Amino acid sequence: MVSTTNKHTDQITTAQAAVLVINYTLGASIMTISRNLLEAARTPDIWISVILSGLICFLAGLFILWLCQRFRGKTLYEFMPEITGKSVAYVIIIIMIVYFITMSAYELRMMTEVTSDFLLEDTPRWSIIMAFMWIALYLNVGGINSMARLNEIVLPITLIFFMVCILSSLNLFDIKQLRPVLGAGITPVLHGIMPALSALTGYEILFILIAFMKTPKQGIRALHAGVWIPTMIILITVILSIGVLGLYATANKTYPTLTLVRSYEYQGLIFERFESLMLVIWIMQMFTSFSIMHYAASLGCSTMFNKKPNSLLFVTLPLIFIVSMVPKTLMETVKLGEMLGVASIILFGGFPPILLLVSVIRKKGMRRK
Amino acid sequence: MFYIPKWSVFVQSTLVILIPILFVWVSRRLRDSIRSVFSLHLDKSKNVKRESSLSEISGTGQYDQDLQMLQESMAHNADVHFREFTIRGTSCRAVVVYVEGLANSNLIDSHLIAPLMREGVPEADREDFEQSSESIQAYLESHLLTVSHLRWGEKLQPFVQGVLNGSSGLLIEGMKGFFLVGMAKGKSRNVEDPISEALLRGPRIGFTERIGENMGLLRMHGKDEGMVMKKYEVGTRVKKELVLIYMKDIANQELINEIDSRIRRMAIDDPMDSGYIEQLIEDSTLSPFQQLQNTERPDRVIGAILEGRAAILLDGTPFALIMPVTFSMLLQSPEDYYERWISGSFVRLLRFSAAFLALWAPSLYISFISYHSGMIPTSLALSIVESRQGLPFPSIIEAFIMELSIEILREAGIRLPKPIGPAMGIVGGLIIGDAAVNAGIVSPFLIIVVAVTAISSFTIPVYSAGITLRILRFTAMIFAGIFGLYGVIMFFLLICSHLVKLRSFGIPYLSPLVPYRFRDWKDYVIRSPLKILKQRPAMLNPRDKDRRTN
Amino acid sequence: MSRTMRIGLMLTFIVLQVITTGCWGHREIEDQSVYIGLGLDVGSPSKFEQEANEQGGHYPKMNTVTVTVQIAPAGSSQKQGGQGSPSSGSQGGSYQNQQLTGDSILQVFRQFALRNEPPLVGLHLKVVVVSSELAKQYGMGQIFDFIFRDNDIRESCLVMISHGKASEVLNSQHPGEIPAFRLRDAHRNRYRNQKILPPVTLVMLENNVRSKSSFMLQNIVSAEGEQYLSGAAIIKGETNKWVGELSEAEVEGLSWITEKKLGGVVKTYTIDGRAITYEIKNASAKVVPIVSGDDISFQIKISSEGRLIEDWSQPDITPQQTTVLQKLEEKFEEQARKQLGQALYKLQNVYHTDAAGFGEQIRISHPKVWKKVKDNWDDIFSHVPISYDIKMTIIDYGSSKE
Repeated sequence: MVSTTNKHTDQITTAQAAVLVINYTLGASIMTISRNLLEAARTPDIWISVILSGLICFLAGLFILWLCQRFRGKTLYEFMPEITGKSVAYVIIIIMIVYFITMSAYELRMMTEVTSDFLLEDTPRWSIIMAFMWIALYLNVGGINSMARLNEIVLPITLIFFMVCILSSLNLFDIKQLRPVLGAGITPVLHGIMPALSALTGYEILFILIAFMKTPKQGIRALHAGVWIPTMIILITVILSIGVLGLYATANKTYPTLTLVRSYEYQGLIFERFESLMLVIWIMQMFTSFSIMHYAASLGCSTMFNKKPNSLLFVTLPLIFIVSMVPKTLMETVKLGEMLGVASIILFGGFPPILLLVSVIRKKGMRRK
Repeated sequence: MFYIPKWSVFVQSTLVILIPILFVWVSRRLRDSIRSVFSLHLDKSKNVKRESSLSEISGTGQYDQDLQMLQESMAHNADVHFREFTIRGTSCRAVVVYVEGLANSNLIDSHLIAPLMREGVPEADREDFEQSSESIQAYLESHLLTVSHLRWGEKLQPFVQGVLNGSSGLLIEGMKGFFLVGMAKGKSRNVEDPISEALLRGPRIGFTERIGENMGLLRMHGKDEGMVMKKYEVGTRVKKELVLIYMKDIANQELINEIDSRIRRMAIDDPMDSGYIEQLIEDSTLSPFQQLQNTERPDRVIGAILEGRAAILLDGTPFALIMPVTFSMLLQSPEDYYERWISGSFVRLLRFSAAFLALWAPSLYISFISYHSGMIPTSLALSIVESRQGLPFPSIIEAFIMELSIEILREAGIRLPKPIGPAMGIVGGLIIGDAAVNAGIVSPFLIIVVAVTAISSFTIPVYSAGITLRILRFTAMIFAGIFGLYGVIMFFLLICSHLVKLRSFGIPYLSPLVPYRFRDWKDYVIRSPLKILKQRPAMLNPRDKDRRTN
Repeated sequence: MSRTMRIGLMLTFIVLQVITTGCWGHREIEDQSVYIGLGLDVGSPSKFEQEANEQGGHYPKMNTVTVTVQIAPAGSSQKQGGQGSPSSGSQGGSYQNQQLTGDSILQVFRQFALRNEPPLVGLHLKVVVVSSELAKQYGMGQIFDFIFRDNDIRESCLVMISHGKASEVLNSQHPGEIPAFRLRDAHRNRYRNQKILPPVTLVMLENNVRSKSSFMLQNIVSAEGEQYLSGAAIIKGETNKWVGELSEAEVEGLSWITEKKLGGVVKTYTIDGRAITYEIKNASAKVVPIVSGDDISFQIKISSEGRLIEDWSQPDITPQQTTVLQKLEEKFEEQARKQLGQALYKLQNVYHTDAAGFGEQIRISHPKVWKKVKDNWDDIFSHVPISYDIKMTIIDYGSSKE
């Protein structure tokens, strides 16, 4: 297959790669993460699960990194046929494209759900979605470089706002809610790993990013940032939700993170309530992760069909729209998210070691020093 | 089957793809049509040369014939005068051609006619003098014409153009060509304080309309032999002088080449102002953001070229152009560097937040009032509810009315004669605002918002950037009217998406913000102490990175 | 070119169409009724409703709950309906109370539309007051179900119990004052008075309700159109219903163990019946659960430092003498012990409810034991021996020595 993108002019720096991984990871799931975790394990220890799954993600990311470094300058879609042969590769690539399309549809749908619940109650959903998608399209047409730059603008804004909003609840924090540590033993903690993983998977985008990096050797830095920063943020979110809201309220709220911001009130500031502010700021975060997923899906298609990525950006758009409309209710959407988490663990946690093994055995790609 | 969405979803999904395609198609057509009007890629085959009777004609050496030719080509102009005389000591006839009001009559009288008529050629030199055309030329140059600025040519066309541009033409019997003596002394104004970019601290010099003087101002300012002033002649019909200025050992050569090629490709009959140049060589015509910065201040130009940028001066305008432009430049002022760094940084921060307000304040107002009343603190919300009781319009209409009227006021304020300007401003601003509140058309909170917005937009040191901000503000208001805060965020993302794609002469418009160049952030929102700013901005990739080396 | 123009025009029209038909969701702030206080009472239709009913204005419902909403500022169109206080002055502090009865809070809210009021929005709801009568009949989970679910109401909203009618608590006789704001700001004075409970917000309430633990809510009485914070209402975890009240003194006594930071006073009498007052500077309390086998007991250790701030005895006690000082300290300790003991007695023997968080201590320090006892903790708690030890030290006599 021919390289369809110009990787010489459209390169990204290491910082940009790191930012892209972080933005890809932190999406809609942060709104519901504490509840998802508590549904899997009703214990305040789930923050340990978050740390553990951060570790797992890092390990899984390492495999992807090794794999990518054997094939310099090639994306997953391009080197896959070299490892497994064309027919098998096509099947895997199609599955991955479907994964990315579903993932972006999920992101889109969650965004719409939150927005129409808390921001625009009477605005038709299609108009919310279309505005979102078109702007993402406009951005993505500019290629990975402009995407990376937008991510660089957005990330500090969203992180700072999010942290300020979340940390403002600190004076309601009650450490008693988090105690006792490991009161119910280690098993519930292990139960919590699955939902934590599905919120933390983001390392898979390295499959694509490494190929665009100016210095692919520094991929490990991007991985470190891309795993540990989201882990930290989710950790803080989970700890604060439980510490402030309490175990039972957290488990009962649809969007515990929003509830967290709604549970305090400061008087005498320009805004008294931060939840809408945090929400719209976080919509930017969802926008960036959506655009990265959309780009990843379109890049896969473009490599498969040997077309320019730009035209396929247009084609995948209605597909994503239709998929995002498939779940009938919010609960189904959340379930879709969980399924995606499992899919991602199999696809990007299980596959890469096998692929690495195969490529070593078949002596494909460069050998590492 | 259960999970197949309704048919309306499929209709919407076709819309999702159709509208962008339509949009792309239209914008492409638009871009193409723009290109065919003012072309960067001038199509040579289409470019029909202007019929010119003069272009191929040269002087013949026959005095009568040449004179007649000159008269045919110029004498129909009422302001062209021919002064015939004989050079003393010879029988050579001579004629001085000049344009009244433009040519330097002092120079003609005392350095042209006086030496030729009064001193002439001494007996001893007469033989040498009359030998040939070349000898006449040489003798005149070395003995008689006591002027510094002297050009010689055989072709008729440059001569005619030269005369019409204000030089004095000299034709001498027996000489196979023409002299152009001196330069135009057209009317020029004094060097004044730059009106559009007044500063409290810093040089009070602004460019004038004369390119020679402007170049002089720059030379005066920066006594550096590295400063290159490259001259171009632009305009297909009306020729104008354009000068590209940069620092030879600082500016990146690729950048200079790019600018050079764009200037050469530019095709227009008469670039009346540097604004023409700006619009012809900019990267993106459809962008609302300016990609070249115009300035009246020589210090700004010097500052820019010392960073590794380039500047363009055009004859006939006091506005120089600086390129490439990055977003931060639009909010920076030379004063930031003249003041100490703490106050400079403070003022700059203030300006950034003012720009933020000027862009977003009305749209935030609209979204808070019409969509997210929960975000307003309760006690404020209650008083807003009270003050808005019985208003006829939704906030978007209300805001549009007030914003439009304040923009009209601003526009009117520029055209109003100076003595009535402030008076009208007060009448318009205070009385209309007060009356609108009393009449129950708008709420007093909106007046505050509009006033803050208007004042904030005047803090932007580059006037054209202020206009961009105004346009975007209205668009943001529409977005806020449709989607509330969500719309505001979407519009922010749209602007950012546009900005990250935009380049000015190959330099990303948003650099050094993105891609992260932490070293350049020292001079961004914060202006660090000069002792720290040792490096030139890395985004411009200058040849000489260190500011301290000589 | 002309085709481009045509398409361009078409696009413009589409955009205009969107803009004009757009603004779907916009609801101007003045077109809504912002309610800032909510009172829930046992259903008893107001006069307005009775009259309307007689003329056929009714719909199928039970009269379970009477909802009082406090709308601010009072709309320009002052409706007769609510029996709330008339708007008092146009300056800021005007409000109106509206009442309707029904069995679904949301339906009642929507019913306001029939009275031609702008729709109610709960974005600025500050305080919910439930009458003890209603809380006795229905569990807090039932009463608050709509409020927990509604996405307009913020979780920072406060919850209180009124001894009498909630609608009366939401009234004020003072002009220019909004009762809901007064209630919201009441707990700000806690740093000077321990008789006020820490504020309970909706999210805390929800956590308590869902975890089925017992808790206390601020009790309010209203007298002469003024609210008075008096003691605490106790909600039993099992049923989430109101079981009784603690008096001010008992709340003060309990505050030794429930509060992190104390700012109150302890007043006692000298032998000859003169009041002397101790101002708490700092205090620390430790509740230590002791588990041996199946036996659970608690040990409370309280130590405090403070100043002697008021003394009515004649002649003045000279506290410079250590013996006198010790005697005084003992007096104060005794008083505190009395208050605490009284409160604990009531909780254990009258209400059989652990509203002071003893269970929490077991859960944290003995999670395995807690698993066994948590289902009938309230019963076990009633028989648990609690010993307490209070140590108070006077370190300071204020700015006056005598």
